[in-house]
Amino acid sequence: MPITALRKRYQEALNDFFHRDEEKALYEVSNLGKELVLEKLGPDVLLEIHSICLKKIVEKLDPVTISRMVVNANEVLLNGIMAYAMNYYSFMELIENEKLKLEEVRGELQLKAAKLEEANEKLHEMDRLKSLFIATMSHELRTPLNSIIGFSRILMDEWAGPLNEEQKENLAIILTSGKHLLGLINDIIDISKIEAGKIERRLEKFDLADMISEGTMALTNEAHRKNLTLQVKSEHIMMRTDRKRFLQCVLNLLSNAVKFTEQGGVSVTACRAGFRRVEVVISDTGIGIPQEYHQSLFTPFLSIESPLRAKSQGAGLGLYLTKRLVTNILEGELLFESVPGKGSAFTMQLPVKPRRTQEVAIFETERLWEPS
Amino acid sequence: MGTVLIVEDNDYNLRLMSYVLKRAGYTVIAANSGEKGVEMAAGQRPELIIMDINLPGIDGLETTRRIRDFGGRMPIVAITSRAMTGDRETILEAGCNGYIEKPYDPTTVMEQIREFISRTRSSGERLT
Repeated sequence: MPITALRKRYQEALNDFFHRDEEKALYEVSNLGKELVLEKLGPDVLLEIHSICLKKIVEKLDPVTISRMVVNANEVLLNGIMAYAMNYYSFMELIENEKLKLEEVRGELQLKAAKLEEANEKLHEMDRLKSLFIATMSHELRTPLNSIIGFSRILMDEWAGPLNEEQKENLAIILTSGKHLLGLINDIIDISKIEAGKIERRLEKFDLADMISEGTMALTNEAHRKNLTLQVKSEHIMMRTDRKRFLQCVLNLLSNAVKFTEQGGVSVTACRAGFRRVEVVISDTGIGIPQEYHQSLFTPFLSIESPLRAKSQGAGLGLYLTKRLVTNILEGELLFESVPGKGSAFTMQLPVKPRRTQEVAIFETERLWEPS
Repeated sequence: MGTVLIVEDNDYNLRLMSYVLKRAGYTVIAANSGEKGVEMAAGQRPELIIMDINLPGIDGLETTRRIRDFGGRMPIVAITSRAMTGDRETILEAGCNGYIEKPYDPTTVMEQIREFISRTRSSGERLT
């Protein structure tokens, strides 16, 4: 009940007391006092009501009645104050309890925060170690590869004297395996660079058809060896993007196409596609990609659990890397369609020239030799 | 044909590079540490230096700086297999004139070195 209504009833009861039934009025007053307490009003409110009432009593009544009233009223007030105090006390106790609980939670949170910070520091340290590990390993792994590939090349080119066919074949295997290993190491380094956001983009002017023919040339021998046709159709379009990375993507997709095709062939088309954009489609008549792998095709290490792995020798990084290069470096898109048993088609759509973004350092040219 | 100094700590890679250079007709001298490299660059005044970057002790970059400090102005070509971001700039800043990434193709490298030497000869860049 709102306080104004209570106050009104209290005064009515007092009026009753003055004009009619004294006993009933007193009963009402004391009940109302209890109700006021139940409404959890503070002692100041009760005191205010009492002082108003007492004023009226003093104005109208004789000293005996007044003193009896005061005693009654004081009793009500005292009860009210007592109840209020009790409430206050239990309320304070409740607050104390809550406070203790909060302290406990705060302590726990602080502990967790400290642990989190520690974990975070550890993560940073691990990330640093990972980068260091990759930098060191790439050096350590490539140093011996340098002499493996270099000396096989020297022998292959018959610098050290003529070779018979069998020796040449064996050397070719050493050379191919060495280059394969080098490719895997380079993929890992590229991925770690992309993930660390540290890859550089080097813009170059070049002809799309030239780049495509360089890519297909590299796969011609392998396609012939497997009796596959290799069709190339490309337009001459001046590009101004990262040639090396674009070529890397074309090579990755092409070598996949050749790797997973046993009959028929592979075709490459490169043409204009919309305003200042080009499209490169690499399609094959190979084994295709089972439906269940379509969703996760561009996630790393895909082939580890897949039946495709039986065919491929890769670590399952090629498509993931290609996707990242197309989107992050070339600012394009990589799409695919595939029907199991019929073949696959991968499409790269990218701008002739990427927008300059601040996050990527751009070098206009890359030359092996930098004369001073 | 002139003399080329190779600074390289890995025996096999040293042998590979000197194989390439000898076939191209150069006289090869070698140092297996940066300190020795500085000494030989000063004492023997080679026409060109092939400098491995990862060396025990002072690395190839510091070796290059020291050679430049004593006034050596012959072209220095770095051999690097790190190829991490920023290396290119550091290598050129240290005073190298170019670099080759490992692993390299011997035939290509031979042609590149020939071209490089003939270019520096004709432009009169070699001042030592």
